[in-house]
Amino acid sequence: MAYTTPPTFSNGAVLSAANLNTLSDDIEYLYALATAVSAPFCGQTMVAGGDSRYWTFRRRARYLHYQVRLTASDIDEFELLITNYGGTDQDGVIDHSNHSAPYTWSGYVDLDSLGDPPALLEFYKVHFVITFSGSGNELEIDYLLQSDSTTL
Amino acid sequence: MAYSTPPQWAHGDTVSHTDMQKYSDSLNAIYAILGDALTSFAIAHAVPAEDNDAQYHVHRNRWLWFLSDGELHDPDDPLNDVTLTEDTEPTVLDLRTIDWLYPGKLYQVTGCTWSMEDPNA
Repeated sequence: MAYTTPPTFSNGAVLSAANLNTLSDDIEYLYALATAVSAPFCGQTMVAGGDSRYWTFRRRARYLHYQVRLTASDIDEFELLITNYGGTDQDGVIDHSNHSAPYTWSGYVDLDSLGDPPALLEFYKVHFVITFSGSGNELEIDYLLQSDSTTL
Repeated sequence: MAYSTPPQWAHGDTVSHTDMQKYSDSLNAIYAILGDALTSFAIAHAVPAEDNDAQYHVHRNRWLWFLSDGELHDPDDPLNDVTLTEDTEPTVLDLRTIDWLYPGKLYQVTGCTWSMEDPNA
């Protein structure tokens, strides 16, 4: 259940069960937020080009934050792709420039800016497609996470 | 909106809109602080022949979402296995249908590409 803006109370208005339940539901929501388990992100080190593993999100926030580091060798193509279940790949980040280590991609994708944005609570997948141009490659996928904030 | 200490009530008090408004204002103040803490990481897909495709959960939410067929195991009793059969992609199971599962119980999912507990079906 999402957070609902609590009611504004006015003099003489009936104190309704619906309004009181909104307060109760919001307390539950905030308590869950304050006590939630903080699970870590399980990343990946890519040493060969092609597709990375996939990760699945359930849409709960607007921004998809990412950080990926090229720690060895050179890269020609870097793509972060977002795919709704039952949908097709959508461009999150596309960088077809050549980069040499050390190089970092870091930022966020505004999910609402996608052509087919995942709806609230819809599942979607994220993966990377990489083309290395050197040898001894190492690309570290550090994190992917959702947040309603543009800063972490 | 600033946090406003909620009132303490005594039997027979009149409930005023001013006092009730403190609840709403305080909730909004807390949400303004915690709302940005609503971050969620992704579930990593198991890589065949690379990962052991076994996920441990501590039961907390009602619904288990999973991708591809698998099994749900009770580490304490092998007779409690539950078959997970994918019908849609992904599929959801109501964990209330499993009578041996209770909040805080450790259990294992094997065979699925990924699984997650969620408060929402």
